[in-house]
Amino acid sequence: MNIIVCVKHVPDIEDPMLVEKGAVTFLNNKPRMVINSLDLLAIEEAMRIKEGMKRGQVTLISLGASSSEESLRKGLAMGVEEAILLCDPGFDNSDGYATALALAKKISAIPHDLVLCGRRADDTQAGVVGAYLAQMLGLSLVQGVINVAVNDEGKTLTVHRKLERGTREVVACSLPALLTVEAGINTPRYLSVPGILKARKKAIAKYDSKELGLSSDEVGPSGSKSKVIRISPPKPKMKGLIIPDGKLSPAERLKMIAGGGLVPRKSNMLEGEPRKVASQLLQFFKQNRIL
Amino acid sequence: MSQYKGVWVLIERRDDELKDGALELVGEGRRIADKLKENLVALTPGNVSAEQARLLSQHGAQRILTAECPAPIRDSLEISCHVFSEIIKAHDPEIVLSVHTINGADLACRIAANLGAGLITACDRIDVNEENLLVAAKLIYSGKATATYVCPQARPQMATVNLDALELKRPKPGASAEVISLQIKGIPETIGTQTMDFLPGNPRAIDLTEAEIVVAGGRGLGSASNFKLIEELADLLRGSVGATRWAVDAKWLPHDRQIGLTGKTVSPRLYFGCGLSGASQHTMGMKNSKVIVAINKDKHAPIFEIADLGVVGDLFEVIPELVKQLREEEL
Repeated sequence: MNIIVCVKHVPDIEDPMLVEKGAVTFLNNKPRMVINSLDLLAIEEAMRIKEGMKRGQVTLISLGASSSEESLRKGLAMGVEEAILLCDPGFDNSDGYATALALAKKISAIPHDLVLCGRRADDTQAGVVGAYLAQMLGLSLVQGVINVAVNDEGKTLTVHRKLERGTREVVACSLPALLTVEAGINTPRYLSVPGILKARKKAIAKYDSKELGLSSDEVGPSGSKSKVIRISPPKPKMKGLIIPDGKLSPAERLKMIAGGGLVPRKSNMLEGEPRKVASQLLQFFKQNRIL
Repeated sequence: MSQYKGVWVLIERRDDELKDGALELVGEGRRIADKLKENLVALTPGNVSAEQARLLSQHGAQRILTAECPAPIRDSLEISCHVFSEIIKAHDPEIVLSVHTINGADLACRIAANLGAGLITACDRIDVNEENLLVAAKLIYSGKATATYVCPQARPQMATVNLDALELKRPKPGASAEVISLQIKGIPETIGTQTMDFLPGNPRAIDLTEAEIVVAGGRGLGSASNFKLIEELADLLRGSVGATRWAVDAKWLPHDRQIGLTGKTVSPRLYFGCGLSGASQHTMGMKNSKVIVAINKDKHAPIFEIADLGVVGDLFEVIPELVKQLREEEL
């Protein structure tokens, strides 16, 4: 089975950062760049499928600055055979659509039975590339996958999708297909020193927009469907529930508004006879649609 | 671009019921439509009941489009995408909104891809700017910044809105929308994916981070066997059991049940803490829960500072009574 894994090189979201003058700045000057956490799981899953079938090839593809090589080499160190980097200054500020278009151009030129992506990227948290890409390549799509089983010598897949409350949807999926993987699908392997050394020497093929046959209005901002108009600090997290009732005094309500809607959590306290307290709890659960 | 008209909301349903957030989304769509002086259309699979139509209209829908289709179609995101995309193509709405649930987001991605539209997912705020474009703000970098987007050219402009960011508005009595039942076109003859089954999550086994209701216990429980009480309560609430570090260190529960600094971070709909004081190492892992209830003997326990409802009392008296009343409720 020929598997292609899409990889994004992203700033480490654990790094301290803040919003200044409409841009995200990292406190230690340069963000530490890492492989997108769900993409790492996608690589691991691809390797497990390939190893389970004892045949096939895994190819990594990334779109980004030349530093994205680091993330690709991490995958190579896990035992992946080949990696491709789509790298062009024109790709800067591409949205999910423009990114998917460039990826689709290259992937359509490589034999593929299965394409794996992370469900979303840690930085933009959009989660749209997989769907655009599946549409462009004409692949079946299953998103939020947490388990993959290969049937009939690799003709079909049975996958589990993660739904709310721990529910799983079992989906039969024909190939070729694109799966976006969700956290919990596997635990990625440790890198071996020989693997890391071997990965260092491997060549990574690079392509620019011209080589992919993309015109300048198909890449970057002009090829994008969406555009960022502003980066701002996140709204402070609401500490308590805003109680939208008129019982509060006007002064208190004003305070709420002036404070950006923040009110300290006002606890109601119950005390007394267990039977009465329990029935008040029951009432509270009903009010909050918990029962 | 003048052929694009109207604000549409995609209404998810499960077993013929409106899903959580449906009416809230209609209200939000109404607000956007009012700003644009446009109509608000609700699109939903399957026939709506008179009651559902009434609710949707009273929250602001002027037209309800239903696509009568058998249940397997409603379950399949692939077919839903084709059906909805064909309807959207035939009517050219300006804006299409849905709730950012797992399936709502998945379907929105598919439709955006099918139509070549722009989509902003997981928005916390949507609005309209002076150019009458949909403006959508969402958290990026795992909540460390907010990014605001527009889709200047592509139509429809699409966004999925977080459930938490939506609120139920007051219904307008007397409003009634016209209900139009549509013929389904565009169901592909061969499809690549098929839903085989749904496996319900067992609250006792699922990961704590996936649990919607968590009942947690601490030192105040006194022994491992007393955790049975917590488990009983959790089962009745269809929730999962969590614990403080102290309880895990005492081997009352396994480590995967630990909430807090060295355990898991949870943000369930209900967190119910029993016999725990609320040390900051623990509250770090649960303070973003939607509703916090706590029971403790000590009325000065720090957990009460962040609780929405605190019970000062003996958990060995209150919880068995609560369990008894929940049981009676079930009958």
